[in-house]
Amino acid sequence: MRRCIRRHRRPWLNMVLAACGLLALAGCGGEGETTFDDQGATATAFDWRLPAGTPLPLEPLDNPMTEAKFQLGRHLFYDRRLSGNGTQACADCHLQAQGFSDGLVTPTGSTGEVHPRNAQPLLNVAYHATLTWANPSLLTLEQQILVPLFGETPVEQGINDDNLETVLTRLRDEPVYPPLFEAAFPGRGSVIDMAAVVKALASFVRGMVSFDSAFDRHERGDLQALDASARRGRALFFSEQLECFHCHGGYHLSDSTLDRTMSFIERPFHNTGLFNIGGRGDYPEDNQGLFEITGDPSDMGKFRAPTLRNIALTAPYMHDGSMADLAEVIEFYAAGGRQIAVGPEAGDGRQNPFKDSFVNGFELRQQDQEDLIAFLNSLTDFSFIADPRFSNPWEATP
Amino acid sequence: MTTPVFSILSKRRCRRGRLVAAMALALPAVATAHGIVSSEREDSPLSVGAGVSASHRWDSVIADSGRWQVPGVLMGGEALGSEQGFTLDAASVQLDWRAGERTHVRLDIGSHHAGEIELEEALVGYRLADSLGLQIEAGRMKARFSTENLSHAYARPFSDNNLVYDAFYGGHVVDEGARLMVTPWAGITLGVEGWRGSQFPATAGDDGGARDVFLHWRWQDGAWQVELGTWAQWAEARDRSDSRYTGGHSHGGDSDTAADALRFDGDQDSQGAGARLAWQRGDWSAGLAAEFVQVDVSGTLRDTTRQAALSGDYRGWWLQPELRWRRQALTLRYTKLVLDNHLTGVAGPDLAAVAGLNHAGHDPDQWAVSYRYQLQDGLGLRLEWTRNRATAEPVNYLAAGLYWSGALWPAGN
Repeated sequence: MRRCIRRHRRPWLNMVLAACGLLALAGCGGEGETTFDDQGATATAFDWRLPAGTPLPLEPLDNPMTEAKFQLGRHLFYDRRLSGNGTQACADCHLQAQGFSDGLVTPTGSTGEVHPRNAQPLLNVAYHATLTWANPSLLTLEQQILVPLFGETPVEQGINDDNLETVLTRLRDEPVYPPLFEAAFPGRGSVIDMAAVVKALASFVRGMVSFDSAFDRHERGDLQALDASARRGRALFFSEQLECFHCHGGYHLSDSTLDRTMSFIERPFHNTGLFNIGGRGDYPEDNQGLFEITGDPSDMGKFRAPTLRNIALTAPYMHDGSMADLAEVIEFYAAGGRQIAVGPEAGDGRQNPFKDSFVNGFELRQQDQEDLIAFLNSLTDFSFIADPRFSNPWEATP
Repeated sequence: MTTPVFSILSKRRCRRGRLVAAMALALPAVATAHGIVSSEREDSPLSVGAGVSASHRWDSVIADSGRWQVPGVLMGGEALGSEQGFTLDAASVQLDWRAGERTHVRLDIGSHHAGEIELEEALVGYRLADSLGLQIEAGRMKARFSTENLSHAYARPFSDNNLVYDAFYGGHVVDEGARLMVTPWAGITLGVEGWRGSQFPATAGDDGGARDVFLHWRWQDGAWQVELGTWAQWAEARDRSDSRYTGGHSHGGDSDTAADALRFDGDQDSQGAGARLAWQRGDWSAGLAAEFVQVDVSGTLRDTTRQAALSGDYRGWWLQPELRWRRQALTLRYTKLVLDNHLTGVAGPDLAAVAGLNHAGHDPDQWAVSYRYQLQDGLGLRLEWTRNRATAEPVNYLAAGLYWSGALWPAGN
């Protein structure tokens, strides 16, 4: 970084200039200013509808955002024909009224297979540095969307080589789609293929941005947006006593955040001490977090810290949906981990050797807990879950 | 040896009595020998002086968050601003020891902003040659490139620190280093200082450090005293943070976590010129002090995930006329900063907002009026009014306080 620093001026010349400047004090007025050159990085063809001061998400060079792709993706998101057996849409596990989560411990795919992990809410996904609970290699929505469409362990929407042409034929037979595809991908005619489907779905999900919670309004200067209890809860949340903000801080309320302003990207994962099977730090075999990808023993039980936006709408909690409500989550963190006394998962998570150093436990009075929950409730963006822009377009079609 | 004001005072007391006291108050800036051991001083090899200033303010530039940020400039060091209520502005004890014909030692222990006690100066000096007044000093020292950098609240007209120095130098420059000074002609002092860089705006270690050169000229003729000076400083910083508020544990405030996470890599080059003029006749005396500082900042501003190139072009100046009649002194000070910043990079607007670099819609400036009454030798009463626009919102406040400085040993020095 010092390479860009220019050379020092000649001192004696400047000292003389400074002396002259002193003589010119009387005329030394003028207004200072702060100017910027973003080198074109904020250019976009898409109306992100972001509040002033909110950084723009990244757009892939091979799939820049457009309104036409967003609208096509919205139709596909709510279309059950986009599954192997025509029974499940993306929206079946991501319901708008529930913050685009499903309210279940873990979801069930189109063929009846149960997913081992809780369905995550979809909002501000464009700001995630990695996607899904614990996969450092999934960096774009275009990559991630292939998982629910084509994944086999478990099967979600169940598209495979055998039924792919059937699925595409269903879409081609729908008269709404050809003009939508043509508008979204001009110059290709009305070609309907899976590459275009993926790009459109990614554009819709990427465009689902939410920054109108009471918390957001408070941070933008409306100090009355939070009531007294939520303000006390906010102070607790951002305190070193509770340490919450270390993993759930910043405007995204997650330390795994990516936007256009960033040059150094962090993609952290954390073990919160949910399990410590056999005292070895183990997690259940079907749900071991980052370790499943890296094979590194120290990655056992590490998951990405999700954004806490709309958290009040997205119970149950944790990667396995094992906590029913926010009070239980707070008590878990207050204890510094979870102790399971009996059964195959028995172990003291508080002593997990891979547990994050910020999960140390804390003491909380009843009023503090209520204040903290009041703050977490303030993270709900009610306009987002009622916004027709993100709603089911097929229901609006006569 | 006493504080600069009173060391001069003591030399002339026998001749002019009260008028000299008046002169000392009227000419605080002309008295600059802080840290210099004069070969003309009294026989005692040891002298001890002290000073203290305390004030009560009815408001403050410090925001409710507890953070003071001049909009448009990266801050640091000890530029904490003056707090509301009763505060100890400054207190210090200075010890000077002449260890032989050519060697001298100085210790200065002080406290600012009612904070912890610090070793402000611990230096050893050696006179290399008499003919040119060639002298070398080394240790922990206050930079001498400008006399304003040496001032204490108890030895200047105002209890608030100079805004120019708060904005550009973290209050004042105190660092470990070495200084070489020469006096080729009477009244002219040329100096070079090299610093470790442990003081804002520099940092110590790799790619850090600071150095400066200065040229001062003093002239006296009858009722007139004139001092002119010019200087240049180069400061280099690597991984510099605003360390003024770190160590606390409150992250619920106004993005203070984000501000504390900011780092700056780059240079701050500055040049300045100052003039101090004093005139005295009968019970009346008058003084005028002024200084202009030009600062160029060039480097990179970053946090854990973002960075932007920062180029800053700053000007700061202050003008301070003063009128004195017998025991009373009335001083006016106007200070202004013109701060131009340009950030290159997509993170520029966000980092500027966090760092407090956005322009507030007005140039930071400060009007201040000080009235002092000399109760007795060394002890004075001070009343001040300040209109401070070195914040996003202007602040007006009154202050009242007492100050004292004098010799502890030998008595009457």
